Amino acid sequence: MTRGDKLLILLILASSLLSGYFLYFHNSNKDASHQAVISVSGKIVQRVSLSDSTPSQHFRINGKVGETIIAVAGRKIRVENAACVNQICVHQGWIERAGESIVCMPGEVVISIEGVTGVDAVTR
Amino acid sequence: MNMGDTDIKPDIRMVRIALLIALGVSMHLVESMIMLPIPIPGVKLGLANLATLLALYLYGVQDGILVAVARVFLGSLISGLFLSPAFFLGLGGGVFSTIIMGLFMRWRCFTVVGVCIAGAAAHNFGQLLVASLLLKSSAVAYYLPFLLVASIPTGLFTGFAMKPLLLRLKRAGILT
Repeated sequence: MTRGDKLLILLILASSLLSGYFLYFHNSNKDASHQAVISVSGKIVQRVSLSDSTPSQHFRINGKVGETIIAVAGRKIRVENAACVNQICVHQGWIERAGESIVCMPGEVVISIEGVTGVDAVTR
Repeated sequence: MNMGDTDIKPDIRMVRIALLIALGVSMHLVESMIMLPIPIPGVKLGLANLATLLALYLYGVQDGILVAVARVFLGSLISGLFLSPAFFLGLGGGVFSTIIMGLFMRWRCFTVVGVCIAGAAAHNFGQLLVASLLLKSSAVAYYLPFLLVASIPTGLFTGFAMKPLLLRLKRAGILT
C-alpha cells in the first residue's frame, strides 16, 4: 500500500463520519415527537406518530413481493416479518431516531422516521 | 509466424473476456449465497468484482464495463432476479465502480488496493443512488455512512486478492 492508498482510506472514513454526523446526529432530538412514514415504491401508505403514549400495534403493508408486518412500540418501530429472501430489514431491528430508516429493497418498502417540530404552522 | 500471431490475438482477447464473464457470473452467484452477518443492505465481499478488475487491468475500461454488465445480466437471469431491484442496483453499482476504478488505475499514486477500495466505495455509492431513484426516496441516504465504512474492509479484501493475481499474470507475461 502506498501513501495514496492510506490517504484514500482516511478520506473515506472521514466522509463517512461527516455524512453520518449530518444524517444521524444533526437532526435527531430525542425529546421531540417523531413520526414514522411508511411508503411503498415512493408512495406514502401510512403515517404513525411515535411517542411514549403510542400503543403497541402492528401494521400489514403490501409490498412488491408480499406482505410486510411492521411493529410499533412506543417510540420504536421495526419490521417484524417480511416476504423477502434476505430478511435484512427484519435483522435491522428497532429504529427510533429521526433520520433513521429501514429499507426493504425487494419489497420497495421504506420506513423512515421524521422529526416533528412541534408546531404545525406559524401565523403572523 | 508473425502472421499467425496477428490472426490469433483478437481471439485470445475474446476468449479471455468470455472466461472472465463466466468467472464473474459464478462468483456473483456464490456471493449471493454468502450472507455477511451485518444488517446493512448491499454489503458484499466483492468477489465478482475480481473478474471486472482483471478485465480492467488486461484490456482497459471498455472491456471492464463489458464484463461488469454481462455479469449482472447473466447472474440475475440465473438467480431469477432479472429486472428486479437487485438487478438495477448491481448494474448501477457495477458500471459506476468500473468507471471509477478505471480512473484510479491511471493515477500512479494508488496501488491495486487503493483502486479496489475506491471501486468498493463507488459501488456502494452507485447502488444507493439507484436505490433512491427506484424508491423515489432519500431515506436510503441513512445507509451511506455505514456503506462507506464497509467499503474499506471489502476493498482491502479484493485488493489483497488481486495483488498475487496481477503478479502471476505479469510473471506469465500476459500483463505488461
